[in-house]
Amino acid sequence: MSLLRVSNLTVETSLDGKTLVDDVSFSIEKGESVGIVGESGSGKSLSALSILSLLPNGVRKRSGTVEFQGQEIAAENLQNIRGNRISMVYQDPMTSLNPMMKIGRQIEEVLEAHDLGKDSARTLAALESVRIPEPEKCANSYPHEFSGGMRQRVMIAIALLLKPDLLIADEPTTALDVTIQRQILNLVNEQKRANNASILWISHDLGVVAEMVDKVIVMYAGRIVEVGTVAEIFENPRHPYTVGLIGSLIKRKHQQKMISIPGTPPKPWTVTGQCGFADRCSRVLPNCTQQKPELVELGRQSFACFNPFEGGLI
Amino acid sequence: MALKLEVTNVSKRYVSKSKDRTIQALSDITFAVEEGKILGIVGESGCGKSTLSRIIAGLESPDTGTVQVTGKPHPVISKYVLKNRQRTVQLVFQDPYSSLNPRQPIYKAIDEVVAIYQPALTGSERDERVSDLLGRVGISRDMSNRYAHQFSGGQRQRICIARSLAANPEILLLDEPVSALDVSVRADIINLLLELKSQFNLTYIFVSHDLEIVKHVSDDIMVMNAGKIVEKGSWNEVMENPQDQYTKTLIEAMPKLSRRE
Ligand SMILES: Nc1ncnc2c1ncn2[C@@H]1O[C@H](COP(=O)(O)OP(=O)(O)OP(=O)(O)O)[C@@H](O)[C@H]1O
Ligand code: SF4
Ligand SMILES: [Mg+2]
Repeated sequence: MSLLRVSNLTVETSLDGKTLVDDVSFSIEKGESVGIVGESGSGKSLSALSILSLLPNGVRKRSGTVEFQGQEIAAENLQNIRGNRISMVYQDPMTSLNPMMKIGRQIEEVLEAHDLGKDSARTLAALESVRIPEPEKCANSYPHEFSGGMRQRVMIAIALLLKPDLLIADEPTTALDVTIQRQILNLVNEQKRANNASILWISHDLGVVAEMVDKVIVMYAGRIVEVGTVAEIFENPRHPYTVGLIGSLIKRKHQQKMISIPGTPPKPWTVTGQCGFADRCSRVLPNCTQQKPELVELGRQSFACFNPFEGGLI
Repeated sequence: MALKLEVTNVSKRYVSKSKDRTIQALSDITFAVEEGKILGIVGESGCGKSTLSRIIAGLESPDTGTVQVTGKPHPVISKYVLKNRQRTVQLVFQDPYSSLNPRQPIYKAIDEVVAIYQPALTGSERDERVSDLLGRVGISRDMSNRYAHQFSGGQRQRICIARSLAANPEILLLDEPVSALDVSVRADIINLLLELKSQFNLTYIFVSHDLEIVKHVSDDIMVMNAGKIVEKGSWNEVMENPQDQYTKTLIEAMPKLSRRE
């Protein structure tokens, strides 16, 4: 049994039913780290937010199920799972920190909400675990008194407070400088190992994902186009979109033309009954514009393509 | 090779908003770029790279020090100069959304720059020049009566580049030119920039926080930290044998993708 299983998830705009996430399915095992990569608007965040029914106003789930340890997540068990078994960290820590409340108090509120009482030792230990210097002083400060990197540490401390089974991290380092990003990445890896937690790490940065996860999900225009281990995705990508992305990053010669993908990604809802990558694809076949390619599994790799690359990065 | 840009002992200090502190944005910056080369400038937020860009572009004056282009002092732009003089340094910004006027067809955005810099052209010559510039960046003439919002981020950046080229610059100052773009579009724009550089015989200053991209495009790399140059050298020296501790930390911090090669 998987720790988490998302099946046939479709998300649409509430107003006019435009498809934003199209038939997404994936699973995460206990202790496994999974990454979702894809560009802006490909549906990474909406897929992740759907897990805990945290979709923003204006969008809703059209269909699909999310199971946690074999049990469907529904209204009844949501409160118990959220924060406790599954927690989430966002790109901008200020979206989830209360600017008017001291940090120590915010941590205590989480503990109280889960009937763990006001436990100041635990609060300080949590801040210490993410290597915040002077945890007492931090507990007594407001979020705005800290830099972005420090706030993100506080967020991670809160997210890991109840030792969740799964941490969902939606671009938690995108807004940070590289040296600060490095500290956060190391910190999460350390904590993950200590708790044997699973991670769902979302990023448009393939380098970060390559470092953080075991398995990579590649999304394009609202759909999953390829899934595989980091090694498979980087050394033997099959979907032409993945090949283009990886190629531009690792197959480059100084100042020489990089492998590139012409054009721009379409809006998910404009893709109907065909491959969403067809008008940018160098391997397009007549079939590709008449039918949607389904995700098929081949060994431990899956891809949605009628004419995939075979063997090795070109 | 002739020196295209010389920045000598440039310093700049700002007074904080509350007026109780001064911030040394740049301290004693000295470097030169040879004609036809690409200098990459890397550093993290607040290191002074944007202040330096504005000073090189002539949008701001340094407290001390000089900026020379082809051996001549590069003056700070007054509104008058901006409208009437050929600018040898053109800036391309990170955000192609905010640098185009939303109420203007993009043809007009290029045409008005051509009109300023080549006032002697006849109507049809001007039209030819606009079409040529758009063509060079891969935007077809029949798309040119559309407005900025009708283009994708990558296309808008192409339009901004065409507009910079309309001023016949010798130096393009590229300030994070691909950071705001979709990942799959970045390589395309980088390829275009490298192509245009040789077509137009340009010199580039490429400012970015992204060491991977800087490493790919630059002849020389300059690393900045806290308003100072901490290291500069040829791209492979800096990347493969960094001397400064901060440079080492920065390279060490890069996600390990490039180490998979
Ligand atoms: N509240 C909303 N109302 C309407 N449309 C939305 C809403 N939130 C997201 N969308 C749309 O849904 C699509 C997928 O968005 P999503 O936020 O999941 O993308 P993403 O992959 O996380 O992108 P990014 O890298 O920019 O974070 C986009 O086209 C987006 O414009
Ligand atoms: S299905 Fe066809 S168009 Fe789509 S990626 Fe594969 S080959 Fe290209
Ligand atoms: Mg997102």
